[in-house]
Amino acid sequence: MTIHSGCRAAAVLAVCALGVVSRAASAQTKLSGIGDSISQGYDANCPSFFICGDQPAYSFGQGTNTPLPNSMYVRSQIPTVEFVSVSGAEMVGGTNNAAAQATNLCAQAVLPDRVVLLLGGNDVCNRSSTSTMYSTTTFGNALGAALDTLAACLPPLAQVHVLSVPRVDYLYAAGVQARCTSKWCLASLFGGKCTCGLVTQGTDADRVAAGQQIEAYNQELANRVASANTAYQAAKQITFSTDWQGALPNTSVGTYAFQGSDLAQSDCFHPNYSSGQCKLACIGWTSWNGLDRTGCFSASTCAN
Amino acid sequence: MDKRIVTMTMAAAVLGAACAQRTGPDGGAKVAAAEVRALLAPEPAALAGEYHAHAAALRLFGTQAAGTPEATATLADTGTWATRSYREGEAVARNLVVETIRPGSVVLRGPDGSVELRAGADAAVRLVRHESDEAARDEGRHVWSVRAAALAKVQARRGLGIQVTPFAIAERQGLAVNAVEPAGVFDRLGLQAGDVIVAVDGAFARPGDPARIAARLTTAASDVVIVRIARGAEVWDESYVVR
Repeated sequence: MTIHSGCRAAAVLAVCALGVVSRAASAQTKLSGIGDSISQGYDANCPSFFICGDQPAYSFGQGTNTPLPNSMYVRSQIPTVEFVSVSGAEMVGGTNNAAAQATNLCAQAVLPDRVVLLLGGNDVCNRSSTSTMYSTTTFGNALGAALDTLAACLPPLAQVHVLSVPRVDYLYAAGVQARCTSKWCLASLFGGKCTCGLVTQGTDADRVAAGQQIEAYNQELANRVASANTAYQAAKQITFSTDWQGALPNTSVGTYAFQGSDLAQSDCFHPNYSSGQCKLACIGWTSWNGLDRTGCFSASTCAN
Repeated sequence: MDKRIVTMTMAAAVLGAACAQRTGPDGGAKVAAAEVRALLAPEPAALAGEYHAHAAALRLFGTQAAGTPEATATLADTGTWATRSYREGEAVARNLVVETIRPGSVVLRGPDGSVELRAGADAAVRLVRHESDEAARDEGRHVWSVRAAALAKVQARRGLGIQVTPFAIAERQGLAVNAVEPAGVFDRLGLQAGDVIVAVDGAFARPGDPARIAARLTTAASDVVIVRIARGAEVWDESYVVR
């Protein structure tokens, strides 16, 4: 299908619109993803700590295992999947941040026409205190650099879906509910750090402050996605979208209140494949495709 | 030094970007002795030939906690998007220092003055680095590129720079990293206090492994050392590839 590279006049906009419709009806060819340990399915099906690590087959995005987590890849029936996600990655910091991963994605031999991005948890968990968390401006500019990088390389009619930052502060209550909080500091037995110390070892006030900052990140995320969509949909026919609908409980990844049953057996933190990853897959897929997502937040959604 | 604050249109000249020439074998330009003498953060007792310079563009993503002792400025190299948060007084390169962190901007001090860079804006710069600064380079995706000769000099001047405590609990054993000294070998290799070295090339880590890792990375050509590291909740393999 040949697509106009520019849509400057109203008459041409009609052609662009037709192109979008045509694309929606045609098969997508490749799904890629930018993310962190969640996208890598870290410890998603693991009995004990330090032995599994990345398990991408159980990821909400690129997972191939069936029937659960019923990943976005499986749901999409897209023939090819190739993620560039890296465990430990942040939206902002380091050498595996969103923009660096976008650069790696743009270097793929075959470019994707669907890209899902989920980052931000480590931007919170890697900080020693709430006062040292990245500013909203810093977070937004880091995401903006990634979206600009993707827009510069993706083919016309590509779709980029940016999932909101998960509320890692909610993991505290989830861990308490699951009675597995002793696993958060297993590494400290060896002199290592506790898991997401800001959340698991912090005070209630720390968790509230972290949650408020995540909410601010997500509002900024939505603003950046909207700006990218405005800038690139007409100019390059690339669509940018997000699941964020504001701070209403259980409406997006960024407002989902994790449950004890969502957590990995190994570390009481990462999402397991049968519930946590499965719910993320459901939210990600339904929000991307304009489907009803209300059922994604119930335990029965991922019942096998 | 002239402490002018200049506009961004002059930034490239003030921060030395206009001088950048890529002539060295590693893509870096040689640094003249006069420029070495004027460095803001020189390596002690280093020779001029141990420095090289690169042209780069830095973007300020933003600042945090400006006006407090915890203030940081987050700068990205737009060539790789590698990002780091700096405190006031920290060196971005040997010729470039973070002078002042403000809400939404940072003042960078270069060889010929200072430039205020606003969040979201780019500055063309010339970055002078000492060979030890890139003895081990994080290439992303948990792969490190190691220059054996440069890392050997780091070891000779600074030592291994790591303190570990062996542990053995149930079927697990390894090395808890108690401290990592700045600019030592293991600081260059990216290890942090609080890390756990779980395994080296697939075998449980043992007390002599830090010295053995350094020996391989400072002498062997075309060697790869895979170190399994646990940090917080996560464990992964760092691949150190000798170039």
